[in-house]
Amino acid sequence: MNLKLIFIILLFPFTIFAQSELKIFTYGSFNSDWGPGPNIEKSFEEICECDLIWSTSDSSGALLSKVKLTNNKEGYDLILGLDDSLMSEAEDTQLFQKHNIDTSGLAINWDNDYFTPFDYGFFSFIYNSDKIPNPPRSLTDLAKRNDLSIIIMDPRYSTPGLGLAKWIYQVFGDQSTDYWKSINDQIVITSKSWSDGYGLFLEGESDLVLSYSTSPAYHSLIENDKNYRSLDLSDGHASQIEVIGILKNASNYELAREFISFSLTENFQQHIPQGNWMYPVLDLQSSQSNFYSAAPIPKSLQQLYPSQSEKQNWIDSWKKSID
Amino acid sequence: MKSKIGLIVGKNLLINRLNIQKGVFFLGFPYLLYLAFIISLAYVVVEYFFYSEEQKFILQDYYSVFLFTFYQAFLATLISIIFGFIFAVVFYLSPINHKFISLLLNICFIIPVIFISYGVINIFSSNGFLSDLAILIDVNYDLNIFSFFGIIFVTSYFNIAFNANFFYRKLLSIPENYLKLFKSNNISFLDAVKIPLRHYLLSGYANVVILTFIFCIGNFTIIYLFAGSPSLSTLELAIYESLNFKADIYSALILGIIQLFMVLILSIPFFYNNPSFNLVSSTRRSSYYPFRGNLIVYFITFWALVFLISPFFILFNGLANFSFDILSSLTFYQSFINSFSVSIISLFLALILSLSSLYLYRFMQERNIFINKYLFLSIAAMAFIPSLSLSAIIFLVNIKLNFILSNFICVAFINSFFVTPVVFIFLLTRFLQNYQNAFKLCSLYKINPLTRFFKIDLFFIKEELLIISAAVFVLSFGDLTSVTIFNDQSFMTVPYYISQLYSSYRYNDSFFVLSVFVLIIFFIVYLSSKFVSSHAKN
Repeated sequence: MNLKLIFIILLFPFTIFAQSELKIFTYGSFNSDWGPGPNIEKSFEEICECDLIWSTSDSSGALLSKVKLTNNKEGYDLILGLDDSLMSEAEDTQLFQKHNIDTSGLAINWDNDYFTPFDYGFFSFIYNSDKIPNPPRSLTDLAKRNDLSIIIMDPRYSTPGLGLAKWIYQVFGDQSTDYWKSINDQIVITSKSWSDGYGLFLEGESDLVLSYSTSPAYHSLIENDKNYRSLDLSDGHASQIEVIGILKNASNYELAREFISFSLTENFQQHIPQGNWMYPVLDLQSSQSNFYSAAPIPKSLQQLYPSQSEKQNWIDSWKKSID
Repeated sequence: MKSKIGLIVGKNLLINRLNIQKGVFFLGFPYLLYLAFIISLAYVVVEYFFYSEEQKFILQDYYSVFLFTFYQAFLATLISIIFGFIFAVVFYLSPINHKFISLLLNICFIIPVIFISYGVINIFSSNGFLSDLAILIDVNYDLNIFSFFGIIFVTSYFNIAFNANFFYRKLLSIPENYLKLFKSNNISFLDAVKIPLRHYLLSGYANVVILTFIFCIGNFTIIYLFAGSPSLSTLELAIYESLNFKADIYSALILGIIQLFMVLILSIPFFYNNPSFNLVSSTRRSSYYPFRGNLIVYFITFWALVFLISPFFILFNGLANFSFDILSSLTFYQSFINSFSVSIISLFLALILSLSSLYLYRFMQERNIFINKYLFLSIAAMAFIPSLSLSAIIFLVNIKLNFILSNFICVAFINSFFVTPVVFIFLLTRFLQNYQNAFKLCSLYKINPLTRFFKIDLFFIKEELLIISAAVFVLSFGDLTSVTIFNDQSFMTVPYYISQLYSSYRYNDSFFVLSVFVLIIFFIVYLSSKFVSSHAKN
């Protein structure tokens, strides 16, 4: 008998049971033991008959850089965790393909052919109400409080850092540089990533830290500590939308689309509030009331989708005024 | 008959000559491979610059980075020189066991940067030991360790130990008759250091200063962990950021090459001296010992010991946070296996390359072929290539090779390159010892180069080889530079895993893993020293 035929016959049972794979590239905390990744994987694998494989990078800021440098040699199907400020840069790389998925009926307005949102949040400063009984009520007020030290993130490498630059630009426009100068003395640490900065704040290195308005919900619901609060600023809070995109050389486009469709269902979204500590893009106020009451949605500023040059202007404004 | 004998002798001579040539080729082949690899690297870089379309590097953007790189290196070097000398003197004059001091200074120099860094954070951070003490005695504590202070403190820590080790060994090696002479002429220790001993103490010190400065320029891990402000950025950090966040390999390469040239220019005096170092093996203090310290000496000794030992207290903190979850996690074991594998492969590559280079170096010296100086240069220069610059170049090569090299291989390669010159320079003096006599004897008895190398040379240097192998294994084991560029879900080393835990605000877990990690390092150092001492007894 032909040897090849024997070989194929022997391998046949394995090919029946072989599952298709979906490779997702995301930031470390999303797929950590305490992040939403493991639960989402379990839920999706129950319906897709596939194997979901996560790969992670240090931070969301490094996701796009890695795929650009390697031209997605690793063969990831999806990138999960870019945000609205990186979308235009990501589209320019021409590494992504259109998703063709209906995104109507979400809690946020969305219209983009390449990316779909999976969660959103508002940038804010977190403080310990035990230590600061009378917190600032506006960004200008914050700059006047020289007794308060702040940890921020570097806008060149961290999406919350860039979010703060966007926030300041949205509130102060051309006077952004002056505002940066006015809070310069209060900034004690500019960390490279959100997790570094937040950890240092919890260790007592500063009075305030740049984070999300949802962060207190973690302390309240998990640690039962209601002292951590988000500043409620009259200027309004800039928002961040995190997105998923299908890479051009995805080995399994249909499965990738299936995952994106799944990401817009309650099965996926239910893991976001107390997994990624952000607001889900579906309105889950009834099923996740604990979360929404621990992290009420603050007054928001209009959503911006910056171009590369706009982002560069914000960063330049920050660079001009820092030590 | 005569012609037949002549033929046999001639044939034997020819066979012998061919054997020698084969042996030389076999032993020198790794070095030739290394040379070919270096030339290929240079070619890839030059070719990239000629054909790259993404020339968007603006030098002006990096002025402050250059300035800060050199400023912090200069300051840390100055501090290290001053305190290194003071520490050596007070340790010499103090009654503390000299073996303990030597061991402490050796360990302080080779211990992983990440360990000392977290040890310092454990003391100085707002939640650290000093802060707790300040609360206890009701004093305001507002020191920010994630600042210029933190960078200089930790950078100086390692280099003070390095400089102190140099002077301490010199002081221990003062000949007994010198000491007797000083005593009989009532010359105090300080007077002896000022005039008669000055030249002795400072001989070879220029190399230590150069190395200190270069170590201070290449302190990536320290800057990575302590830079709490964008103005505190060095060239290495800028390379890391260009690759990891900007996808800008062009800028990363230019920065790497600029740093490389600057460091090589700075190291020119080093190459003139054909240095050799022995900062690891033991030195005995003369049994005759006329000098004794006073109260000031004891006071400084106490604080010097506090300075050097206090970061080690994190060990207690780590072990107190014993975590069964961590011990049973797959990532924990994967990271240890990765670190062990990377260190073993880089040690293996470094040993093959440095022994091959040593053999060729001696081969040329024996035959008065003076290009051996260039061989020395080609190996020693690797010590001065900053790890992140090399990482940027290897990254480019990997792009050209369509990423056939895994992250594991890249890290092992880079680590082996920076430990090879350490092995080479450390073994050089011993390997060349008595080489002329040995050469004559080997020629006389027609000993094959392979036989000479494996049965005579390796046996002769085995003690030093073991010491340096343990040291470079530890250096590679604790490295956190190239792995910040080359890592993924399946490949992370222990230092990287620790930094990831720390970044995720899992401080207790990171301190626990760190403690386990350092205990393993102590065990490796202990095993090697045990072996050496038992061998010395035999």
